[in-house]
Amino acid sequence: MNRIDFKNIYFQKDKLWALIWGAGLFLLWLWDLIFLNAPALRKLETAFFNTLFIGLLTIVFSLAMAWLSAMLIHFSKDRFNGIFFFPLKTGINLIRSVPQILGILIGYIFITRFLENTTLATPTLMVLMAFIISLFIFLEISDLMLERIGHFKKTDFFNASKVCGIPEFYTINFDILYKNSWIHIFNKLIAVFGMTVFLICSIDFIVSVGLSTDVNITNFPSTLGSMLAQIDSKQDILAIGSTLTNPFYFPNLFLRHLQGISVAFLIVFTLLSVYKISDGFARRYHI
Amino acid sequence: MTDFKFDVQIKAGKRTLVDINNFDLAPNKINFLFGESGIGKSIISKAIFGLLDPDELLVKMDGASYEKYLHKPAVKSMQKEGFFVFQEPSSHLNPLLTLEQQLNEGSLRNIKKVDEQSIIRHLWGGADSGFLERLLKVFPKPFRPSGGEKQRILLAMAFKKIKKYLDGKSSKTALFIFDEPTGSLDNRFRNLFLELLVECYKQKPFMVLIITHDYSIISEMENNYADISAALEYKELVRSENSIGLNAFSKADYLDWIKKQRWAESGTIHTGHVLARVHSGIQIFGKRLSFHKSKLQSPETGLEVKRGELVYLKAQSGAGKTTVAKIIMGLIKAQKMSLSFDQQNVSHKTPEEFWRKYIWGKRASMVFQHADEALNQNATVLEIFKALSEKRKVNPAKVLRRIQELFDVELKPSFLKKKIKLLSGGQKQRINILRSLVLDTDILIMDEPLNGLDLRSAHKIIEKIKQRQMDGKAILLISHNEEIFDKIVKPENIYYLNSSG
Repeated sequence: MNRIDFKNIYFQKDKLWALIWGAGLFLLWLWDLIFLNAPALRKLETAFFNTLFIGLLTIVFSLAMAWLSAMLIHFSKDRFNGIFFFPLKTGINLIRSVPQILGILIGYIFITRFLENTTLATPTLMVLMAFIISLFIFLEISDLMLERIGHFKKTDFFNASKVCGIPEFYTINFDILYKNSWIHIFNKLIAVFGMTVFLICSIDFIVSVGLSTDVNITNFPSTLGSMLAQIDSKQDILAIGSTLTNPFYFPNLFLRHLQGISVAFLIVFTLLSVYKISDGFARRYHI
Repeated sequence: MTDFKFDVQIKAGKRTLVDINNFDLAPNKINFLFGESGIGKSIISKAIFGLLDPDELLVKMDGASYEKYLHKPAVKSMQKEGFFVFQEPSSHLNPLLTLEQQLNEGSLRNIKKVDEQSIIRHLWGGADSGFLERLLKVFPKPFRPSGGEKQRILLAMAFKKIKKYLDGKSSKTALFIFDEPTGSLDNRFRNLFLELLVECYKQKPFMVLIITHDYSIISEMENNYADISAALEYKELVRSENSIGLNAFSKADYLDWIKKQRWAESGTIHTGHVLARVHSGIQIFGKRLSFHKSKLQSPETGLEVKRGELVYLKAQSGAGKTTVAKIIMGLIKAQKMSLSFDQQNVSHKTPEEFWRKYIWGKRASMVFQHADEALNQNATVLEIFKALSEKRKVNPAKVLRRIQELFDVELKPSFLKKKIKLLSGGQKQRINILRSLVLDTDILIMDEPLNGLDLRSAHKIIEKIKQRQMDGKAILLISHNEEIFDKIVKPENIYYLNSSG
């Protein structure tokens, strides 16, 4: 079993930042438990866990989509005279041409239209949201996979496997993607998680303005983004500005404006931690 | 340091790379160092010459820190007077300078032009001056020069330094280290290098360390330079249970072994049946490749790989031996080619699907030249063999038994769980060969099968090859190790590859 080596953890920045993130979250929760009112704390917990859940689900969907598209692109290139390759590549490039944030917003419009006629349970909605985000993120992982395959295809090891009769599908998946690229893929997944948190927060904030008269933010699962857009949180954030003219008001931020401050802190701190974890991981494994 | 005896310890983090006591070099002699790949020959010699980076590796020389060693006047003078020829010529050459500029860098600039020209002409076997002039004007990358030419450029640099030493009045000991100096050279150019080295040595002795896997150098030295045999030292790095040691290598071991080598006759019914035929006149990369029997001047012929026969393809380095092997195996598409497997004709238009369906791992397989590149470094030994089974299941005990046949020391089951990257070069090469042997295909192509092996392992591999031949398999051998393969392959099965255009 791998245990965390506390002696060397300072030099393993990814583990160090994972610990810092966990400890930071715990301290914030403890503070909020004491000073934030119970309904707001519950809302904050729900928003945080929903964001986390969508983020993790996006990783799973993106990974599956990326693998499928990488396999289809790779194997359609040299087989069946390449007739499937061109339409596939065009479809992929079409997705690539859409800016991520715009694509996800369009996806949300579809969900909104759908919700106008029907009601969906929160978990189902979260799955749908994660699926839409994945649709515009998975190419990041797919490109990495194809790049790794392309790199190893040029080496003798790929040809040596071929002449031993080892199926290309096995060599690509086991030898290249699993044995030689899991570090690169895992690092990308951490980045995808960070990207998802950022996108959810940005888009949910935009969505909070309202996409429809029938469907509004209350129909969507609560996330850190949508919570930040709530009027209470906005006022809390504005209170930060008032400390510039009235510095003595500063301690009140942590007692009377906790909801907005906590949400903002959670977003920024999580994004920073994820960035540091990814960076530390890349350095540790010399990616 | 006057006795040139070293205790060397090298660690990378917690991992011990080398730990050897009494690594001694005979002063003012030509020291040949053998031993399997990855055992530590290069890194020890780099440590002695002061080329390791103390920030990257933890190095101790004679129990003291490496920084202290590097500041010794003897080490500084050794570096100033001597030269180190690296194993991989590409890594030594600066891609931004022409070969001529590199030949005249630093202290090499002060050597007389006439000396430089005579060295180059010697190493190129008297090639015409127009050719050499053009060659020296090129940059090391991307297409010219060939590996063999790059290696000779490095050797020329070393000889310029030797000339400087010979012309000088310095009485200090000069050490010239040649790490695999003939790895990319065929026998003719290797012998020219040895000739020049001995010629210089006879003028004024100096200390030489030649790291090599080419045991046939022993025969060359024995046959042509017996007059300096007292100045020749043969040593071998040997691995025991948990350590490595430097032993004297008895040249008789090799000479007796090579004397006993004979080609074998397979007694199977279909012996001689042609399993693959490659027609002469392959066109690839703007070159034309042709096959000849007995010598290059003989008429062109087709290369025939026959059941129960060993076939040996030889050529100058860079002529395209590996390319031919890859063309046969459908890994490279030639602009024009024609070959047949049994009665099935194959041309440059045949799709890859044909090899996938009928050839790879079924009728033919191939051992690649460099085990380091041919094996997945992150896979375990067992995973390499699991991949060969259709259901990815193998019996570990059986696998261990097959591997054990190629190893002297008793292997523990934990060996199967070792990652390839943690094995020595010689161990990797044996796994590389065994992977193709266990497939038991009718045709086996082996590209430099003795690469990185010590004599004992080479002997085992030769026996395996012969045994496979006796079982009625067809084996195409590609190697620059002519002394060994000329002996075990019938003369009528030896082909020369010529590249023109």
